[in-house]
Amino acid sequence: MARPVSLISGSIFGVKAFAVEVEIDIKRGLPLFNVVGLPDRALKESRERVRSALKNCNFSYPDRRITINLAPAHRRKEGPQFDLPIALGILASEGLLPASGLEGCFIAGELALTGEIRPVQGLLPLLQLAAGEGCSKFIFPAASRDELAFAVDMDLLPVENLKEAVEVLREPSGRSGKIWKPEAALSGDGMEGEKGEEEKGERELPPLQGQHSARRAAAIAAAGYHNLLLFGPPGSGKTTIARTIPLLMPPLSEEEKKEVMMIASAAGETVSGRRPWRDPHHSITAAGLGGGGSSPRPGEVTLAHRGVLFLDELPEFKSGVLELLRQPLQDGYIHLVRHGYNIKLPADFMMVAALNPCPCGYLGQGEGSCRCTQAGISRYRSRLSGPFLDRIDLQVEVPALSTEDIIYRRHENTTERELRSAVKTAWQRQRERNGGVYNSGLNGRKLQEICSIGENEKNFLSRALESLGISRRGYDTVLRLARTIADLAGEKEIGEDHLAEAINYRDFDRNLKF
Amino acid sequence: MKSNYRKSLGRRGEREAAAYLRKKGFKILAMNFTTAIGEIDIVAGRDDLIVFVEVKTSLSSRFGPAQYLIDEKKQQRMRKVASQFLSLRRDYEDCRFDVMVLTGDEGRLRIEHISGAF
Repeated sequence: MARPVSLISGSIFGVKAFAVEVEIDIKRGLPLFNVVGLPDRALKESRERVRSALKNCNFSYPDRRITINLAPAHRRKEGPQFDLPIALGILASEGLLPASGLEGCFIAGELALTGEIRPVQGLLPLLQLAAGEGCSKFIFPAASRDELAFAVDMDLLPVENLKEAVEVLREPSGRSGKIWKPEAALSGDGMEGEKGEEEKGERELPPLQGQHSARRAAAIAAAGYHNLLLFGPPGSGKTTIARTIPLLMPPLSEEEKKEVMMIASAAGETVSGRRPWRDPHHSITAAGLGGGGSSPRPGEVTLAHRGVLFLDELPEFKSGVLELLRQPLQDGYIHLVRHGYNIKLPADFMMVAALNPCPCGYLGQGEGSCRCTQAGISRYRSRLSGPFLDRIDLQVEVPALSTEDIIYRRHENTTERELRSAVKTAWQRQRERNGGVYNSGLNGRKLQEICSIGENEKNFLSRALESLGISRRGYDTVLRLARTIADLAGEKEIGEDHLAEAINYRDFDRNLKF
Repeated sequence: MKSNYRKSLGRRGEREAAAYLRKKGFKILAMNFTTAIGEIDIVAGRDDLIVFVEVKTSLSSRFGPAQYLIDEKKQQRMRKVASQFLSLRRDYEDCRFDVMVLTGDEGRLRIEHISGAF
């Protein structure tokens, strides 16, 4: 007679997974397949997949009352990764699998009707969970083999179909030739991977023409993790410049790589160890950007964690949507509170925004080129709130290219390598000096300590502040920027020229006052 | 409507099921108890227990096990008819719904008794 069986699997919540115990009990009664424990639609439908898969693999499907309980009962479970544990649990309950084989075994996989096993979303968080729960075996879809890029102290057992999974579990010790060893496992030093990545990045740097000041601003932004605003007429290269930024930054550290891959896996995105680049269209909704939904899905801010979030045509975004960026920009995470859950998702990204100076795009391009009314321009700009703009350290104009630039300076790419190594050095300096934050994250006392300036510089700055009308917060920003500029130049002290350049990058602020 | 052959097969199954229950010590209280709502094949009693039985007879398993034919709607209807029966007979404490599945060829029918099916 059938006996109750329990297996371990997991469900995704935000960017992490939680353990779910799958209990299966088969009793006499009219045939029934009942899933309890707050399953979602995909899970309820698993009946048909499990039934067909079992039959198509020549196993019998019990024509009795099957009750499946997912514990803990109060948390919502989602996803079809429970197909495989359910099917194996039914077989075990029927006595077709040794119960001892299931012990310490973490199982996840979606079933096709034929019994093939399909990849599941969030495999990396599930792997981490399994390791944390002290499981000794991890049975997962063979198709997502390459996703498992970090080493854990478990037997990794990729399976192609239900039959193979059954064979693996029937193996008394579980130790067979099937154990998978990830090739690209992240090791301690990671130096080789870093080199490979740099070379790849180099190839992918898009060719740039002219725009020296904007490119310099991009390098400064990359060096100090400052947010960047690019404004200029259409076709001047704002997007192209923005795209170079993740490539200018040093590759992700091992720890960061793990974080980034974990998030991508949980969201069902392509998992790679590259620095994220996200460029959502401006029609994006609040939930799409910040995350949310009936069970928390990471939004673009979380997917851009440790990378760059590019917002093209900034004023076209719905203003409510933009304002929700304030918390992640300030704190590096987003705290989502909804009916039924309360979760903090990581969202430490660099924001790069691009916009035209006016609705038609040609303001400041010479007499008569702009068709906008004064009211139209101020309406366009008023869509961006002061507190929001305040959080963007660098604001720089990307002017239209001159004829000369276009014709004679094609594909000038020589300085990229130097820029990249300068950025890398600047990051090292910050790591040694700042205690875990980039220059853009300096505040309060730390800011005063690290960005201290001499008397001459103080005088220079106070004159500049008075004549330009820069606020208190603007003053701090100038100091942070000057620090980064000095770091890029390899200077220990902040000098007058660094301050002068920093003041220059508050362009848009000043433009607003016209 | 059911063909005569299928009707007679069903009647035969019900007779055999009743004989099986009698052997188990049940008293048959009604066969084909019918009201405006529906029908219950067998009503049987033993001590304080009253059992409502649905009998399914089939000669082939081409369409899968017969127990799949008793869906939620059929169960609901049986409950209603049963409560009508119970309102007439108040001398029983417990009640139960059973399903009996009879399969096999012309000669002998194999009986599968699912007690407390729903």
